[in-house]
Amino acid sequence: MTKKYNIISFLIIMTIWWIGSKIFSPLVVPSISMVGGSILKILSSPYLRYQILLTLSRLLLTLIIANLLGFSIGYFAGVNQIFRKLLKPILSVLQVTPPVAILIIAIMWFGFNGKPAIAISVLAILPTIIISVQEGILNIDNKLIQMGKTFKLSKESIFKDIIIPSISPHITSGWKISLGAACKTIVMGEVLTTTTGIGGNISEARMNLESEGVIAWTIITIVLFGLIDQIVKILLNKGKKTDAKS
Amino acid sequence: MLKVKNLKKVYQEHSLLAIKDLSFTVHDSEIVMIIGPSGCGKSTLLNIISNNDNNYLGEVIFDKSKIGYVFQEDRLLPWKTVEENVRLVNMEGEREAALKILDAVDILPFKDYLPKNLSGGMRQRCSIARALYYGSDLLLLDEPFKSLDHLLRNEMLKLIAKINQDTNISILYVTHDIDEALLLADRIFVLSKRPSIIADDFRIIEHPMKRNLESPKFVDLKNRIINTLERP
Ligand SMILES: Nc1ncnc2c1ncn2[C@@H]1O[C@H](COP(=O)(O)OP(=O)(O)O)[C@@H](O)[C@H]1O
Ligand SMILES: [Mg+2]
Repeated sequence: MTKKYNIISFLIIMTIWWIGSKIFSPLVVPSISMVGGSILKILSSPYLRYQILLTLSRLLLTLIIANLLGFSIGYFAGVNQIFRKLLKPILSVLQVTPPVAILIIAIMWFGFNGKPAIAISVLAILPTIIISVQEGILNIDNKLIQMGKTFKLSKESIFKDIIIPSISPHITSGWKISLGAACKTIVMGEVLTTTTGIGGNISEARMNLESEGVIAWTIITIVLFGLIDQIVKILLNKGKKTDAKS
Repeated sequence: MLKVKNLKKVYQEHSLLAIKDLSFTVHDSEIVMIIGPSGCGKSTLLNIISNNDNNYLGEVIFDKSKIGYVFQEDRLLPWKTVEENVRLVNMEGEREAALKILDAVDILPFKDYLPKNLSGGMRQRCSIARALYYGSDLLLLDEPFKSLDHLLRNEMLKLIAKINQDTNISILYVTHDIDEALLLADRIFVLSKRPSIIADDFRIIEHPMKRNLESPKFVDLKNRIINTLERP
């Protein structure tokens, strides 16, 4: 059923696009075939495929840095009440700060390259990861830990069988939220600060007045991130099921 | 042997005196039941004996190592099945032994269920199975059969009596149900209202679970316990 509606909705958009391309100049609304050709060109060019990989590696780096920072800070916030209280206003400010404002500072620090993109992306998802780790730790049921100690479970067993399963639902939901945000901000950061990666190429195409290139890159990005999102969700859900069974 | 001497417990943060002065002994292979009104400090006492609470005055001496605890709440791990919950506390133990205990508490068909899919009584039986599989020298039970119906509760009391006979495990059982105590106990301590002290104690020599609570002796005993409980 939903499949049917997906297809209908897709056809409607293509029709509107097709009509639009008949009415407006190709500079405003490029034709479907131009964009299709542009997508093929990008995917067949090793150099442009490398640009996609570059963005993906920036994304990976973002996730690694944000998780390393997020887990250490979140852990301390979870176990230390004073630290948690001090951190709270900082996180609140961070959560409402527009990424662009941070971007300017990041450009002043790092210059026009991929680094500011990584920096804002890290800052965009850091609060989510910190909070999910902190909440996970706060939600560990002390009575279950006591149970473990009463029955003289080993430290490893208490960690593996009680602590990890207690916090993992919080962490996976934090990951699901932050992944989408990281994808969006990394491309935005690239558009504004560099000529490399997906975002860099979008902004190059714009400067060369190649609207079909802009749209082609955008479509590739959407499909790519949609795929990543699905894969990660499947992996996380799988992890949850084996947790419940093993 | 478990020896509790002049135990006093204050919950500092609320400056609440929970236990005033408790002294008693549980001998090897003895079933001791403690009856006391709700809130008199029974769970507090078991938490101290099981080493979950070290903040008390007085002495608690236990000359063996393994204490099994059936908590007032089941405290099962929600992400583990019945069988996994039981086997967790004795990883070197044999699976067959675990299944046998699950059978004895009558939840073997549910061994692959997660706790959330069991009734309260079944969870409690799983928690009992866990304490038994642990292989305790002393078994602490905190109102374990509260959520069981009458018939099942009698079955469980029989099981405890049988285990006590077969294995010589000592049992310290806390309840506010007088009949349970009259059926099972070798000795009954009646606690006063908080701050608790031992208001009275009774020894019963008849074989556990083979007692007629309608007989004059037990009716009289029950009345004396009720009187003690109602004393201001
Ligand atoms: N962690 C705690 N902090 C403060 N007071 C507590 C705590 N646990 C129990 N109490 C209080 O101590 C008294 C005895 O509690 P408890 O041992 O649970 O009673 P029982 O098990 O006999 O019903 C109660 O008044 C209860 O409110
Ligand atoms: Mg209690």
